[in-house]
Amino acid sequence: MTRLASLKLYERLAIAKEHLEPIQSDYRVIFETDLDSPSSILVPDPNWMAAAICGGILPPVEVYHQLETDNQGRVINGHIFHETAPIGAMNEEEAIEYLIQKDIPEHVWAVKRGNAIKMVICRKNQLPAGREWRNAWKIKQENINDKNLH
Amino acid sequence: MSNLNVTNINGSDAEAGKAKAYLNMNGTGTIAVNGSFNVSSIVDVGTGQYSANFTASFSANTYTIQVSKRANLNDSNIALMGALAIGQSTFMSADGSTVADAIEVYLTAHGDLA
Repeated sequence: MTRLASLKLYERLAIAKEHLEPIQSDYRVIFETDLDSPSSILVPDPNWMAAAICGGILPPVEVYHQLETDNQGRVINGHIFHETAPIGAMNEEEAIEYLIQKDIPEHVWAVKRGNAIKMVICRKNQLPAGREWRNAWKIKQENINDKNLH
Repeated sequence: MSNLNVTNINGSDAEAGKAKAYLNMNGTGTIAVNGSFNVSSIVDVGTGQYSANFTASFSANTYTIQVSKRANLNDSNIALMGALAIGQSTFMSADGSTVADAIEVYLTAHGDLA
């Protein structure tokens, strides 16, 4: 019997992929990285969500922020992915919070600048079903509170 | 915390030359993952523009990505690589010279992991 924590992250992911049923999350995260770009929509990966909910596979999210690179852009402390103890099971909401901190630029979720809302967590069915005028999609500021989107 | 116990690990999946990530995704409507490995999320950036975030990051932005898309025989559909970062790659789909949504996009990534 092998403890997952003793394996490298990639190996833990491979075992999780083999043993866990993917979980399709209903959550989506809409975010805007700058004023001139359309809203981006983050979709959680079902295999990743299964690993997050199982626990014992993913590293703490801080590990991703602690990665250091040399002047040629090469990671010099990648060992922290494998040597840091994996975190325990998360519920779906905690997993989404993790994903926001991992996959969305920090200036969107960590820095409050101005009054504009730059990020919204919503359900899939709250998004437009079609993609008409996709490059003009923006978070509609006045509807945020009214429609309980966050 | 749940424990996932295994009895055998045969070889290492992290061998050089093996694909370190793959993705099969719907690129229209509300985009969705059909199949994947080592992907934490995908992002719908705009019309025909997407990105994939990796769970196990690459060790440098010198890895390679192959992107393709589902197309009809007579269409001038192409899939293009955008930017590479250690934890994310950005890619797009075009119809001729116009960026356009893809029905399905396929991606594989090779390189050294961190």
